[in-house]
Amino acid sequence: MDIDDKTMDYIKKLSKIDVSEEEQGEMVDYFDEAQKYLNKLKEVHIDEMSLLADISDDIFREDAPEDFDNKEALLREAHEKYGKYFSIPTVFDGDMKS
Amino acid sequence: MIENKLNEFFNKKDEWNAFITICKDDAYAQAGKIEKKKLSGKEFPLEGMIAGVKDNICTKGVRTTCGSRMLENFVSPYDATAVKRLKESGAVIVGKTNMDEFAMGSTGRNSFFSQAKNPLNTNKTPGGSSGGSAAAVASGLVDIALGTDTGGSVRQPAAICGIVGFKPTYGRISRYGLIAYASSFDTIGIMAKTTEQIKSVYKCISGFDPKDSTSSKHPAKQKVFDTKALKIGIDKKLMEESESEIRQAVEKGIGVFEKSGAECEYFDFAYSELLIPVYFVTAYSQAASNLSRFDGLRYGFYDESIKNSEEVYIKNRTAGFGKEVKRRILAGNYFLTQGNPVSIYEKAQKCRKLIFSEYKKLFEKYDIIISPTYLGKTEDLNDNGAGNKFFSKNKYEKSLMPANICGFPAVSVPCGMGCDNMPAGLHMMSEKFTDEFLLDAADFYLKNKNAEKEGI
Amino acid sequence: MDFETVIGLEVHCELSTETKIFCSCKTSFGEEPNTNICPVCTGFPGVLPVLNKKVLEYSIKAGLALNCEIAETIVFDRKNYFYPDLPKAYQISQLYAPLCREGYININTEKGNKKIRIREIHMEEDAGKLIHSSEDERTLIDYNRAGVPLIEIVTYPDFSCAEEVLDFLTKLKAILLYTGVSDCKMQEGSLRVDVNLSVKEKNAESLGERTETKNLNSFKAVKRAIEFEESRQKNEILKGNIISCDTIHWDDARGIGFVMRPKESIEEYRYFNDPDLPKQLISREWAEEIRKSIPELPSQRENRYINEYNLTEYEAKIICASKALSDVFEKLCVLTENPKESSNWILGEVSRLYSVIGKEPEDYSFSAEKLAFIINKLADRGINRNTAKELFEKVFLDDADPEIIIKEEGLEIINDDSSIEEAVRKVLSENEKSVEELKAGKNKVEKFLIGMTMKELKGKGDPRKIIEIMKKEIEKL
Repeated sequence: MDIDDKTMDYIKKLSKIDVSEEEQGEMVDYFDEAQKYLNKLKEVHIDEMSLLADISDDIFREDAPEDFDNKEALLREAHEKYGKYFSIPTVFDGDMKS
Repeated sequence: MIENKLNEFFNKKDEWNAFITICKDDAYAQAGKIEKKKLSGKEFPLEGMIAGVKDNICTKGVRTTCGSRMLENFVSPYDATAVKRLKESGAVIVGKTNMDEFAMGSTGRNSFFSQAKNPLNTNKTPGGSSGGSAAAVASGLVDIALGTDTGGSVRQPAAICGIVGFKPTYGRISRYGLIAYASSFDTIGIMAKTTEQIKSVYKCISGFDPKDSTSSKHPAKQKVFDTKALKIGIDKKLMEESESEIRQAVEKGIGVFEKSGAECEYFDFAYSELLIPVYFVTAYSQAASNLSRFDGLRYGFYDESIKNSEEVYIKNRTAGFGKEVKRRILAGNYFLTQGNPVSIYEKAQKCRKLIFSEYKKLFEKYDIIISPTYLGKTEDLNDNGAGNKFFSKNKYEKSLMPANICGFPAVSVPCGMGCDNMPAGLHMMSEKFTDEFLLDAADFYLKNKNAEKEGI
Repeated sequence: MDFETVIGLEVHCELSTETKIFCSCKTSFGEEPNTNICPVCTGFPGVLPVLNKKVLEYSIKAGLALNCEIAETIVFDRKNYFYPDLPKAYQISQLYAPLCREGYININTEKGNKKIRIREIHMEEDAGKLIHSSEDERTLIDYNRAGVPLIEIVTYPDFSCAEEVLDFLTKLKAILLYTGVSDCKMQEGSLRVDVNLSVKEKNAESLGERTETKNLNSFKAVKRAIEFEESRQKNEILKGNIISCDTIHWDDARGIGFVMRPKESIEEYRYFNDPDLPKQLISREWAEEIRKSIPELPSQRENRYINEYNLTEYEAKIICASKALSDVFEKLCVLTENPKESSNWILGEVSRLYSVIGKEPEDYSFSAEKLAFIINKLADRGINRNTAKELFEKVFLDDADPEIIIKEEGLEIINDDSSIEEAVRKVLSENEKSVEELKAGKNKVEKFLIGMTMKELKGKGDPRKIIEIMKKEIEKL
């Protein structure tokens, strides 16, 4: 399987991660090797009706408010703050959605 | 009494890079609190125990780095439930242990901070990703350590460092506060030199947590451990694929059970070929999603050179994550988008169910399934793994994967010498919710394994 | 070229639970920024979601009120994308197995009734709020809203024009208000509308490419945005251009839509079942209990008003569009035993005054008891209609007590025989000429005499009594 540049760019965009040329070259080899294992998955034919459903029971929370006792710590961890707000250099609405 | 122990600990040198952060002030403060409460009559089941906690488990007010530059200076605003329960039971946490970044790795090489070393041979790795926890216990620095096990990361380092490593049934220990790698597989595990210590800690930190929707309300399965009624299944392929010294050590270990009356037989696991792809497709896809929150906006690494919003995500994530983490995120996003008509990820989930149903059949026959913990040699520190690129190392970890893929409890116990004078680990796995039974089995083994030598 | 418009809607509705969908933070609106937050809703490392049972209950309630089938199991999925208002970089939503399916609302069109089909309703979490600060070149992020529970109501593309959409939204809002699952305050963002619109040549086989205009937060904006986009697409097609599947940002102040970006493909979101939220069964018994707890819905109430109170279809529809308003109406009916009069007041003075103060009945209340008092007084002919209207305005605006005002300002209609006889006699004695004319057969003079009597009584005379007594007195003469 050849993973082409277009696909690599697409995945990098989805991951919001950049890689060096060397790393990109390695990723191509990596996917080549992965393919051998992925083929094993593809080959398996599964009779879905025979699969167990994994259903759990009664995992809920009551609608009762609870105040988190350490809110200052939440803002404190942010590098970019502005008064009581978290902040980011200006976003042009809609631009950034990946 | 605990103070003396703490003094001892803080005076020692951590020659093995077992720790990323040492919590001196917190430890003494915690000890003080315990002493005070004892005066009013409170009892602490883990009194006197000092513990290391793997650095991907949140500790309030203490740096929690996941072994990564991304969280190099992150101080958690809350305690993980397991940590809270550990403290409430009287154990004192003395430090956060070293690990492969975001639990991705099995040698400690992927830690941003330092390379942890194996106390039994400092030229060798302690395994991973809970290498620091294993080293902290094996070296005697701490009594017990919490690790995390997603694809064997508690059991493998335990085997490599010659200690006991226990991964409970998925859902028995709360994941709240465990920084997620693969949500369906991640389990907090316990590492110690004895099964008694593990049992005591397990009793205190396990149990339903309303903050974790995947934590289980299912009661423990009452099962009596009796070697005369015991049926053991041995995974033939895994034995064959191991290094010969390791196989021999495990065979000897099986002999201990046999001599006490257990019925042992080999079996062939039908879907052996599926273990590795099911593991990495599921784990890396979930990791890609779990690690998307790391963008520097609310916490974590922030690249000072960022000028506009376009750059925020890419720069923080590219610089904050190490190579292996980036690789797995890219792979995970690939698995989530490729495949027709369903994504490869969806196919892997179906295969998971297939694997589970096969093991269910095996557990109708056997009480315990045994195999070697880690099938290969313990790596040298300066072995850059040229011959073991990408997925090929996974073949040594096949023994570990079923317990994560299916949620079974599993434990590794030291069973004598493996290769190069390094220990070998014997791996035992049982049905879901038979954790106590499994620990009884481990206990039995450790008490009787040397009896053989002594001719009892 | 003859065009046809095809519209589908995605309506986001905030549920009025006390706490968020996956954590115990409050959902209260208008708080100081970043005060209704915790590690879970701000996506800190290591946190996990736990479903708020009330959210499930309200969502099922809404689904049943909208005639949907409820799923057997609860399954949540992760929708993965990066945006500063989305703390985990994924939204927990439902793609593969939405909670409710195949519902409908019947709307009225010029051509008669039309069924608008609802394809699905699913639960999801809201994102935080971004505030753009141009002077500082920053965008500020407030996570108070992150994790607030939403239901997304998705229709089939069954609409053909803005009027149909507005009728649907009016009815939808009323139903959601009646069930009590949301306060539907569009100005606070608890009801937001996305419009998917495509234009095609009449009789063309396939649908045109559609655009999505997001986050419209008033009915007016919905109407204007639809009309704008319809027109824009028609013009593009006439120019020979192809419509692309874009997202449109609607600027209501300027009345223009901006093409923003191509819409994401579903694959980019990399949906998969959220492993942190195991699948759960929805008990059929519980769903049935919820169904039983649904109060009378607008259409049922309308029918009841038509049958029980003899209102017209039109009257019933207007009154029932607002639950608060119809609740007042029912109270009036009980206290006055006069549904027709009550209905007239609701449709008349009450509606007028709400429009004057620019508020909805849901947001502003007045004393129905006091209005009932006024209506009853009017019926007893204790006051006249003008007085009644003036009094009510004071009740509505200042919560004044009409009984006290009537006494203090002497507004009571004079209808006791002796006072009227006195006045009539006075007028007759002062207007002998007119009396003569009346006796001579000029009947119009009676009106004049009655008018004078009313004047004598300072406008507070009971007209019928005046006429009655006038006749008697004149006969005596």
